[in-house]
Amino acid sequence: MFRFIIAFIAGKAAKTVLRLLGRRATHFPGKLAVKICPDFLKYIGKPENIICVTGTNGKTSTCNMIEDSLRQDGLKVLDNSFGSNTLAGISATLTDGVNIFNRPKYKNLVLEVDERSSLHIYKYITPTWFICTNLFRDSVMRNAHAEYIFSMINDYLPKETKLILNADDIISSRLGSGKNEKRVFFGVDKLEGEQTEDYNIINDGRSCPECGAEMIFDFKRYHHIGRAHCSECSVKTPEPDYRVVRADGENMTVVYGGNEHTFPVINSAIFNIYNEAAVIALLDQCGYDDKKIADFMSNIHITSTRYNEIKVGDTDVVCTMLKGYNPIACSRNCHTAKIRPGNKSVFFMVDDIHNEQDDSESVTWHYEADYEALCDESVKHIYISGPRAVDVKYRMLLADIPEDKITVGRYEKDIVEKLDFSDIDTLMIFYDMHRYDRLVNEVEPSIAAKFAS
Amino acid sequence: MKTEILYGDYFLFGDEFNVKYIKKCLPECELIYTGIHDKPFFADNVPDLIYMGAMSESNQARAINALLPYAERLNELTERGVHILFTSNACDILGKYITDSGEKTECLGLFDFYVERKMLSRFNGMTLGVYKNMEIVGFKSQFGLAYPESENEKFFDVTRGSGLNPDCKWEGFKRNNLIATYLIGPFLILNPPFTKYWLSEISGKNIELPFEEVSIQAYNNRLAEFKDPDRKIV
Repeated sequence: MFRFIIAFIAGKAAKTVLRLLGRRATHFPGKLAVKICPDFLKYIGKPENIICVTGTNGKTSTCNMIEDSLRQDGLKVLDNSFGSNTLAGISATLTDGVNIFNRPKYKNLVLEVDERSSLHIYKYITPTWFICTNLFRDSVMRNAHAEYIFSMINDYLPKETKLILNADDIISSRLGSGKNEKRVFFGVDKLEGEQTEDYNIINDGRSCPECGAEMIFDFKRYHHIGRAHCSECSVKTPEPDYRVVRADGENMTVVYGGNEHTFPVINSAIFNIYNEAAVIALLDQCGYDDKKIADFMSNIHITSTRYNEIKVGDTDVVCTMLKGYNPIACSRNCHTAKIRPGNKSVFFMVDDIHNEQDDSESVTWHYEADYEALCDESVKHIYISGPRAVDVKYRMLLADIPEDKITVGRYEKDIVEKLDFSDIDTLMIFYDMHRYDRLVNEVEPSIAAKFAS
Repeated sequence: MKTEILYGDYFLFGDEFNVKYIKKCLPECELIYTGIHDKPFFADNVPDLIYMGAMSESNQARAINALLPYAERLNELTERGVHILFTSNACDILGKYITDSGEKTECLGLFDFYVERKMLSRFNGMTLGVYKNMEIVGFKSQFGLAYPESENEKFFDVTRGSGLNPDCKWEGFKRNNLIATYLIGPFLILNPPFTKYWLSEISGKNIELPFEEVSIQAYNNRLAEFKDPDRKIV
């Protein structure tokens, strides 16, 4: 306990000093506190209601939706939206959430939790509700593979926690199976006019997680997302308690409690439909009626750091954050580009700038991403910037994309000079989070200036 | 030319592209996919090449169980000079055993090494080395590290970065035409000189790599980075 007191004082002091210096102090104070007291999380005061969100993709958007909803209801919510989602960031957030007597200042806590950090977090934090959006392969270096991450979460998840899980994910839907009493599932039916994908490089649901036999997909949306059952044993995806049966650009219909309920769609990309369905499930479970939930949803917008659309002349410029090293995020965006109406070009700025400075970024993940989706008549040009540009170009060539469609440049400005808008309706820019500053400070203004001239 | 792919459904870390690349380089190559419940093609036939790539630990255990009855046959094919390539943690299977949290899993025992696996300690690294005057590059990302009992059957010497383990200055194993390397990348795509040489040797003809110029350009960029003293190479 003595170590905790020292760590607590140090963490609080570090926060005060960093804030006086104009910093957000969302990581270092927690890192310092944990260094002094490794089980800092055990002793720090915690809010009464704790919602944890994890998953390979969609956890930030899902957290933002939950926080926005609860705040619209007038609740005071502590969250780590500006901090890291690992032990240090979460420790910093909780340090911020207590007074000097270590008493919680908030009743509600919404935490985005890095999957890999589960063992450090759930040892000391018992979430009231836990949402897992999905589990896919992510960074080869950090996360290895989906099965590893599943075990990492499942082994440490407290049995008292109530789970909200993706019924269409044969991996994450098994979390807490046989351990957690309350498990609620959300899923999305095959939607009218929806184009499913015949082939994805990654499908971690090919073999049964129990017996290793072939999994049969009754409906496959993409990768291992869909409805499936094992060819040999009883393993199958669960029935959703919250089933999205219809969705268009405006509204989505969710069936639960025996009735249909309609909600505004925040973003019509299918992965955002899943995120919204997870939030609706949570809010319903927390006692909000459908009208209230619909009101919340109608006032929520996806943050512009993750997704933004601007108009340059007659061309739509769509900027989407694409987490580097994450082949699923890359694949999803390639497929989104393919099905977007009209002609389009795609600009990739996805190299990890930190790797560029320190070592040599592994290109392995590019060979798990569905660049083949870009081999389409409607994709007129592909631009690639960054130190790995030639590697990515080679990957594109192996996806049978014609070489004359591909332009590479080490720096973004080299690419902007070469952008051709003459034959496209949309320019899609995919950027890694580390490239966001360069996108808004360099690329977007350069594109606007190019058009103005 | 017949290439047997062992447990291709299980592959991770882009290793599926090693197979696709072989097919791109040798379009006439017939790919024979063996599933976990299938009898391996090599059990009763002699393929020109056998390939196996990265997989999860549970699938690796399934693969070991499936292959144990054929360990002697695999050894026989190795002695006969059949080309075999195992990449990433598929290599583990060729050793004597794997230890993990006090548990020991017996493997095929074709080579004299064992693997120490630590699931909470992922090893990531980069490797630069030389094989037959060709520079080899690749990445490593694995839970297990191999500890060899002798240097007699090494694949290549490491000039920078990691060998089989942090204290080992050589990477992979080689006996006749069986090559096992922990390198990912995918290995064949990252190493155009080696791949060209190796596939030419297997097929008996001069192989032209797809978009060879671009592949060499990417390779040369990587070589320069791996040799740059200012870069951290673990």
